[in-house]
Amino acid sequence: MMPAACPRLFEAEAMRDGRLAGAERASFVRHTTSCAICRREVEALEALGAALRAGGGARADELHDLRERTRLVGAFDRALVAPRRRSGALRWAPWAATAAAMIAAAILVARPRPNVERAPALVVTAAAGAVWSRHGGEGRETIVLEQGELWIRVDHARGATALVVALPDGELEDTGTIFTVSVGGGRTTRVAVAEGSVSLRIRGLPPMTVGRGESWVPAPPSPLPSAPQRGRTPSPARPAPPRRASAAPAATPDEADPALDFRAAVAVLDAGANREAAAAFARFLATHPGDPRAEDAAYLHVIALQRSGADDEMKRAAQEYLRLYPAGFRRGEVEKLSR
Amino acid sequence: MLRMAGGESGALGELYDRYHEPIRRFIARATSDAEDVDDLVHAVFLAAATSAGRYDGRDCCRPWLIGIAVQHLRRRRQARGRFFAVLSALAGAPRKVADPGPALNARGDVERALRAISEPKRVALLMAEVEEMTCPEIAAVLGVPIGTVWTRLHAARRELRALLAGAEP
Repeated sequence: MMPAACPRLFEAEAMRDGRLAGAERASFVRHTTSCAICRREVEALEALGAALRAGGGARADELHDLRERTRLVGAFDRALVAPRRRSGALRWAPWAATAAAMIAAAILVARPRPNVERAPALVVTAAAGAVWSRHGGEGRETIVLEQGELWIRVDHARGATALVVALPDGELEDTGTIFTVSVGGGRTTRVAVAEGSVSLRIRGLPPMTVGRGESWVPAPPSPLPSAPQRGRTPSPARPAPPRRASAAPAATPDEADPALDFRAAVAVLDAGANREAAAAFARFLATHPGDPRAEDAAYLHVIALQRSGADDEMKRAAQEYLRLYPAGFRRGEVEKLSR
Repeated sequence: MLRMAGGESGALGELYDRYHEPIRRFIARATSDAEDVDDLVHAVFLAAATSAGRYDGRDCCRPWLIGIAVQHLRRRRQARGRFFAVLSALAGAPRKVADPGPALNARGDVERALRAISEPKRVALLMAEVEEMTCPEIAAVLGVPIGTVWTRLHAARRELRALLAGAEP
């Protein structure tokens, strides 16, 4: 009669699961030759395993397999693996490019304000400490120089538009040149032309042309009138002729009445007599509406009124400037004042 | 695997052709033929494609794919467990454990008996008996101690045999 259970029965499952090895396994195998209970247990476990291996769900049909395969490969191509298709260095290329761009941007931000600004047809080189700005406009480029020295090259053959350098006491218009302009103490201190020529308009002076190889420096300042007197025009400073005149000096004093009237009005404004200056500019505009200085006079008329606190008059004058000179050089500034 | 890691969808197609049948069968049995078997198979092969670069180099990919399948099954089970926990909480009563007896209308039906045992035990049993994975391999894939694997296998066999014999496990 067989015993109801064998104390080594558990070893059947242990052997199947790999828990018995070496001598223990060999011992149990020998035991199964003599113990029918353990032998049947081993056979039952093997039968269960075989039944499990033989089982399984119904096999999917071929069309279903094909459909799933297509779906899988499509998803692989579309979503998941596309970013991984790059191999080796290419995988890191976007990161490297991003890092390079960030480093370049950091260098650009961190370094001091560049002294050289380059454009295909216009090159501006600023001396250290120069205070200036550049403004594009319709058919005209404007550089505002407040302090210091700029070296400018304009190449009209390469499509440069008209260039005007706004100076504290006037303006300079390029006509295709390489030139240097310096400002100090709120006034133009030097204009030197290496190539071509420039038109120089300094407040209180007649327009001048500074040609190749010439330079212009202001005459020593003449004492301004201590206070403007009504009905009397102060004497304007006389322009200094360009030096090193390889050609005849282009700047000559303009003794015509419009020039005198204009210089007189400017001098009054410089003296701080704003109401009188406004009246002088209004007279100039009424007397010489077609004079080349009329636009400047219209602008200075607005400024004089603004300084005097006559806001309503100032706005009307500003609107008149905009009407007469819709593309005027100081349009932007006057537009603000007109509102 | 190298080709797949390099982004060759053709290599994935070959892998699918070779192993999709056993993987699908494993997932179907582990989930009791759930409706999302196809989605799980799909997810397993896509996961294999994206992690092909980390393949350990063994000759046969099947245990590796089974391991991925088990990970997906575990995540699925955890998500479903949370879902049922929320449902139970809303109903105000603990979820009733299904009685495997009624499921066994036909004695000797291994598949029906297999569905009656819990998924962790079922998965361990399928990995050991069908996929012929060793217990250390199963433990590594499931992320459990090897003793847990032995315990699950023992309980799974006991329950399965009891069910097949028509007795309470």
